[in-house]
Amino acid sequence: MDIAKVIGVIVFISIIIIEIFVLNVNEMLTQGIYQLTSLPNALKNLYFKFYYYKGDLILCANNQNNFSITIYNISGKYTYIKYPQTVLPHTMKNITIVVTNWNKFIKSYENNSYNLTTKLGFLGLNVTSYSVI
Amino acid sequence: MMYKLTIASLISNIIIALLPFYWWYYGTGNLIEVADSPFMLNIIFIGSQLEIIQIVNLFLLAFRFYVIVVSGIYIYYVIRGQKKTYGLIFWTSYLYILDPIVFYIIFNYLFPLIGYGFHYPFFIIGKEKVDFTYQNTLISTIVYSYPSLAYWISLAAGTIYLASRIFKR
Repeated sequence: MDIAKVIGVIVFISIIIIEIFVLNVNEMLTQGIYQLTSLPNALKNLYFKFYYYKGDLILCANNQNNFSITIYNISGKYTYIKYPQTVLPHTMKNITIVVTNWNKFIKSYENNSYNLTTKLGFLGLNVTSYSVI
Repeated sequence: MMYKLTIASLISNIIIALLPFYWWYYGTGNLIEVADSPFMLNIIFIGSQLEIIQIVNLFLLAFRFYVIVVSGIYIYYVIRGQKKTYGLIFWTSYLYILDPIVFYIIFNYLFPLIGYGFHYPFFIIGKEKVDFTYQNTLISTIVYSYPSLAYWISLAAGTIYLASRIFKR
């Protein structure tokens, strides 16, 4: 290693020392780590609750995130929603689910064998989820 | 004056190290955005800038000065007649192409090993659709990756170095 690189390393270390004196590195570290630990909470779940009201199947979608979530469809063999709905941040929205065949739907649901496909969009992501209810 | 190309390469090293710009941008747009260069890094997750990255930037800032000092001292040597070359900007700018390749390998080959079925197309510059599956869920998004003007300038500086080595001037 030649003299230029040695001087370079000395300057490197000096700049770091100056930065430590001039900036509050401790606070940067604690803020940074705190932010990282609170990140998982930034993606809170979308809560779904199903209600039966006046002959309709209603989905109450509760979005407790800081961003909007668009529900493109919640579909199954006997269910769908008419058009995509957007749930704004920290709001709840009631969405009517169209049921094409109540008898078959209820039978499947009671057997825990109703296949549900949920299509959501948020933060530029399109999420398709398959579940059985 | 001897070694004109070498001096030009060393001077452009200093210019590049002084430019306060990012070299490459990656991200999906809303979920995560990354802007980086060998001297500066920024990551924004769901609209918030990650603070911990500022600690990394302290080292990268000091690294800028390292590059400037070494290049400066080498200019002194070359003016005195002794040829000294410093290829750091050449290596980092040319090898920046590797970053998107590394992402491709990590997402396409390594993530599937831990259960995420990633489909990440191979691309270096542009926007591509990326899918991944995890358990019963399929998530698809658009990932972008593109260099900045500062990157092309750095690539030019790296090429001056290459020329100074090839033509031995």
